Amino acid sequence: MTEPTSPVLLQAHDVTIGYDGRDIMNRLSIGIERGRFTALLGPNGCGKSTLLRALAGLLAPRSGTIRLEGQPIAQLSRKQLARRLSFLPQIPRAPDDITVRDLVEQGRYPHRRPLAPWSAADRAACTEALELTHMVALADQPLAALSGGQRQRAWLAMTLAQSADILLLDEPTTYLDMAHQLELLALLRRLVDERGKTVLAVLHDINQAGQFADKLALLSNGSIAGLGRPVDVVTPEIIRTVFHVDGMVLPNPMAPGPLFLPRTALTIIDATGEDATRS
Amino acid sequence: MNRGLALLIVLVVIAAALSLSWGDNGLAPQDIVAALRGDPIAAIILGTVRAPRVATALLVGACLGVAGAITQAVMRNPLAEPGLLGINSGASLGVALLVIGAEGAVGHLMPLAGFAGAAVAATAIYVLAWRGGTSSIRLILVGIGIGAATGAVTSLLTVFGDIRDVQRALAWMAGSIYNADWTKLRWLAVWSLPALAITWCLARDLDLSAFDDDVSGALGLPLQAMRAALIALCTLLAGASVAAAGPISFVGLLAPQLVRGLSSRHAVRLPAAALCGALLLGGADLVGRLVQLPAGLLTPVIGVPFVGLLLWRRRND
Repeated sequence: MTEPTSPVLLQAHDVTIGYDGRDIMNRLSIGIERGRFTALLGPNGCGKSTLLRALAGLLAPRSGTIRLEGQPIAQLSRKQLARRLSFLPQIPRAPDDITVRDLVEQGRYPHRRPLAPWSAADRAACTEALELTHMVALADQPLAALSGGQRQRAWLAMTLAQSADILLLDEPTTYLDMAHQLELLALLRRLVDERGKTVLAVLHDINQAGQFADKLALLSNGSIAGLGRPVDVVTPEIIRTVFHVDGMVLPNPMAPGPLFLPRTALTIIDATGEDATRS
Repeated sequence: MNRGLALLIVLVVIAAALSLSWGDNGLAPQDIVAALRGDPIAAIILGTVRAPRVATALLVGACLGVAGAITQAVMRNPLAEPGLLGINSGASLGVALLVIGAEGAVGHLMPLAGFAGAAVAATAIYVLAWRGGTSSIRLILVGIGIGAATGAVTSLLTVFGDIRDVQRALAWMAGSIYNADWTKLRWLAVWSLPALAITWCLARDLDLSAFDDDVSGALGLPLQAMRAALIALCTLLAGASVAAAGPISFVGLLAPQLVRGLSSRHAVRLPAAALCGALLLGGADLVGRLVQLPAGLLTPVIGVPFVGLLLWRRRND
C-alpha cells in the first residue's frame, strides 16, 4: 500500500452485460489497478459474479469492451488470456476422483504446447502453488476427501499454478470458517505485496475487505456505487445506499482502515410494492 | 509404465492367442507357428477366418472403449456411453431403412448405411442441443430424445417390412463380427486408427473438458470448438465400429469405467480404455463362438449386472 493509485491493468469500459435478453448491468465502467488487492462487494444479485465472469472473458458483453493493458481481450485467444489472467468461480466443479496434485497440474494447461512433456517450469509452478497454500502434505489426497477449507485451498493452488498476473476470485472465503478466511486473505495480501499480483476478489465481509484490500469497489443494481480506498468508500451513507443497512463507521483499533458497525437493516419498498427487507 | 496398462496388454495378448486357436477346428500353438512358416491348411484357417475376426473384435472393442471415454469426459457423466450420441440407434435405423426399403441384394451396403445413420443421428443431436453453445446436460437430454425417436421409427419399419428383410436387419442389429474379413478390417482401420491417434493427442484437453465450463474456459480451453471436435471423433470411432460389427452395447460404457481407477489422466485412461474394450469384445466374441451366440448379445450379459453394481455403489450420492 505505497502509492494511492497505480496504472489500470484490467478495465471494463462502458459494458452492458446480460443473460437471455435481460441486462444485469448497463454501461458500467471500472478499472482494476495493477499490483493492488481490490475487493468487490455488494448485495446478493447485484451482478458481482456477472462482472467477474465478463472480466475473465467468459461472458461476452452485449456492448462495450474489456481491456487488458489497453488491448481488448476479445482479440486474445483463450490460452493467451489464460496465461495472464486466472479466474476461480464460486463453486468450481471437478471430476469426483481427481487428486489435489492432478487438479493443481491442470493449472499449467495454458502454458503447455500440444504433446510437450512436463517441464521444469511446470513442476516448479505446481510445487510453489502447493507450498503457498500449505497443500503439500495433502497433494495425493482425492479432492472429494478434503474439508471445505482444504478444498478451497486446493482450487486456489490450481489458480496459482496458472502463474497469471491477475487473479479474479469469486467469493473465495464464503464457505470457510473464520480462521481459514483470515488465512486466505493474508495469503492474497502476500501475493500482492511479495509477488506483485493483481487480485480482484468478491468478498462479503466489509470489515475484512477494509482490513486486507487496497481498494473497495461497491456494486449496487449493476452499477458502481463507490470505488476507492476503504476509508473513502466505507461511509454510513454509501453503505446505506448499497446494502440498505444502517450503522456507524469507527476507526479500526487494530489495523488501518475503517470498521463498520451495523445497527439495523432498512425496510425498503421495491417496485412491486412488496416488503423487501434485506438483512 | 503404468502397471495397470501392462497387465491389460498381457490380458489382451492372451485373449488374442486363445481366440486364434479356439474354434470348431482347434489350433495348437505349434499350428500357429506352422501357419506363419507356410503350412497351407493352418494358414487358411488362421489367415482367412480367425485372424481377421480376432483383429476386428480387438479393434472394434478399442474404438468403443475410447469413444466411451470421450463421451464420459464431454458429458461429464461416468455413466454416459456413445449410444447417448445416437450412434447405435441411428445406425440401426440406417440399416433398417436400407434393408427394408431398398430392392435387391444390399448386404455389402449395410456398413455404409450404419455409418451414415450414426453420423446423421450424432449431428442431429449436436445441432438440436445447440443454443448459442452446447452444454453437457442438454446433449444428454437431446441424445435420449433422439435415441427414443429413432428407435421408434426402426420398430415401425420392422412391423411393416417384409419378414425376410426384417430378419436380416434384426440379425445385423444384434451386433456380431462372425463375417469379418480383411477388406472390412482395412476400412475399419483406415477410419479408426487416425481418429484414435488424434484423440490421444487431445488427452490433456479431455482432462480439462471434464471440469465445468467456467473452470476449463478460464484455464484457456476453447470449449465449444473442442467439444465439437471431440464429439466428431467419438462419432467417427463409434460409427466405424458400428459399421464393422453392428451395434455393440455396453463396451463403450464398461471399458472406460473399469479403468477409471488407474489414473485421472486421459493420457493413461485412453490407452487403458482401448485395451479394456479390446479385451471385453475379444472375450465376448470368444465366448460367443463357444455358445453359438453373436458377441453383441453377450456384452449385455456382463454389462447389465455391472451397471446395477455401479448404481448400487452410487446409491448415496
